[in-house]
Amino acid sequence: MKEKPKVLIVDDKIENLVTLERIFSDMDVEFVRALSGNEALMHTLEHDFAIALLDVQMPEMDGFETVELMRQDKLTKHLPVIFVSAIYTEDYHKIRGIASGAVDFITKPIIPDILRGKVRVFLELYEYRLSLEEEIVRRAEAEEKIQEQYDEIQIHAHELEASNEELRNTQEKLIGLNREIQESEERYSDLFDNANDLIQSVDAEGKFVYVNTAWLNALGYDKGDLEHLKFADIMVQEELAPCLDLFERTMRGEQFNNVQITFVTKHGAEMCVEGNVGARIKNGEYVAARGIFRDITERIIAEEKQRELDAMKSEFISNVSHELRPPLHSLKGFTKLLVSGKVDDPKTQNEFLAIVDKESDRLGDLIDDLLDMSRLESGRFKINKEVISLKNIIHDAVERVGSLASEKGITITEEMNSELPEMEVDGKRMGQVITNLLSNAIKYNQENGSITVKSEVSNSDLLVQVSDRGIGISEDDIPQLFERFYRVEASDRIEGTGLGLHITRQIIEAHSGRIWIESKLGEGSTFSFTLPLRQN
Amino acid sequence: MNERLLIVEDDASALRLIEFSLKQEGYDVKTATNGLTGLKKAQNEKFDLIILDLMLPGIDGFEICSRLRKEPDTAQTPILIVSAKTHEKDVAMASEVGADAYLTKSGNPAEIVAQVQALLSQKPIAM
Repeated sequence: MKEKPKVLIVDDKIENLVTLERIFSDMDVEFVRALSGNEALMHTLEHDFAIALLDVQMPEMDGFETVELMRQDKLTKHLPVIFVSAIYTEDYHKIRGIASGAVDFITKPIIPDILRGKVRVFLELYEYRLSLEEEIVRRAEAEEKIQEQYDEIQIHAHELEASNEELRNTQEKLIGLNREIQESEERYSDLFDNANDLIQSVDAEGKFVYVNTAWLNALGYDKGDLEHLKFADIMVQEELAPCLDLFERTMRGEQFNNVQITFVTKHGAEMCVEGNVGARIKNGEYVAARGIFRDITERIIAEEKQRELDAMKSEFISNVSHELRPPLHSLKGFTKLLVSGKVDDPKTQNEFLAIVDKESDRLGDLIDDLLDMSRLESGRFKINKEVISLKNIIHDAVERVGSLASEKGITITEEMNSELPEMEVDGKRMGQVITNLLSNAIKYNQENGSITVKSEVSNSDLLVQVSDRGIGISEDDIPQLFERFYRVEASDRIEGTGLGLHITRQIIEAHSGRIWIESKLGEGSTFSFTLPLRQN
Repeated sequence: MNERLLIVEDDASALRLIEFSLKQEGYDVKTATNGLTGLKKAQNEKFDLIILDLMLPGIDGFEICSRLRKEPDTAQTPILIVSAKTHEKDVAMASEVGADAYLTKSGNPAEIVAQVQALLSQKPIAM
């Protein structure tokens, strides 16, 4: 319930106070009485007044003093004051009253209507002021509420922002994690894709889950082919059964190291690989068989070659011992005969001594071949060049093999198509070359056959050709002819170490020359070599 | 009358050594240095014994031996193989084609002389 506006009435005479109350009896106000200025001031501390009616003349503190004190206090600074006085009716009193802060000055006798009218105005002002204050309070409250709501919104906003921030952090973390995963995946696939080994992963149904680039390149497949490709498709037919067994055992958890398997490429070529096979375990189950293989086709070919070379070497050793034996036997046999004194005839003695001499040479030549071979093998083969004409070298070689040729009734013809200039060569080695070619031509010739040694200068080269009408060499044998230890199969009955042509080629090549052969089985062979006229 | 022998051997020194040693023992010795000549001589002339090398240019010792065995004139002629080959396979092969004895080449012609004497006295030495 709304309080009644309070009116402070101050007079030292109680009857005056009663009179005032009576005047305003029809007004809805509450009166607070004060019998002195001091009492009035005390009341102002306790109540909020709409207006004060003050008597001017009072003992101790008169009305003017009271108002002056009121004006000094914040609470009562604007309190409307109406003085009511019977004594001080002069204008200067009125002026003093106004000056002290009063709003009006009413002299007695009081005209109730006027006083009521004046007081009503102030009461209305007071009401208005109160409502204004209320409004202010309401607004302030509303404002406060708005502020509170605003604050709340702010708090929510902060919370939102915080959770937003958290979200952002989580997102960044996720992105970071993603990047890490991606990088790690890139690192691994880089590792796998750039590996030289063939890497594959095959699932339980035999489909390829993963293969690396080396695998694709080696087997000639595209990534797109994998979808329809099965493990069995790349196995060579003969190995299919053991490979499927290996696959099944792998899928049961067995690990195999250094297994050798033959793959078949998309184009049907076979490829030997060696590697390790094991199962991939996920959640305690074997989900894939993975294999890492290395192409060992070349190694196998190299091993095969090495085996062939080893076979050639042991055949060589066997040949050498067979070649060494006959001259040794002859030396021993003839020496024994001579020593035993059973040979009386001096002519026969001389003949035998000549044989001993020849067989010693043969033995010496064989040993020279062997030494040359070992020098070639260890890289100690030396060429000692001198300025010399090949004309004499050819002629000397023909003389050297003369007796060998005449035993078989073979004739050797020298054909010099141009004057041979002097050139820088190792004379002894070149003699060895021509002797080798000639004795080959004799060995592989028919009885009473013929051999031609042709020499000529063509362009900046010297060309020498040794042709025979012998058994010839088959096309299959020609490529290997100059390899060490190689002997053509048909030569089983013909002596030789299989080194002559190999050594011959080495000598020619050491002179920056070239040697080759043209031959037809049953018709004979022509060995040709060229040497540059000017040695570098 | 001296017994006639034929030696087929392509190594001139080895041939000369055997020839001389057998001649010293009084045999009438003929020679050939390749398979074809050796086979022709063996077919055309009558020999009491033939000595064959295995590794010969053209026709080899095994071939000569098996051909001689197929012809009535030479089917019974004692044949002695003298070879540098020491492999069992070669010894077995020699026996298969009808050779009577097999000797590995050595620098001692006395071994051949002894084997020739044994074969001619119809007492082949066990191989």
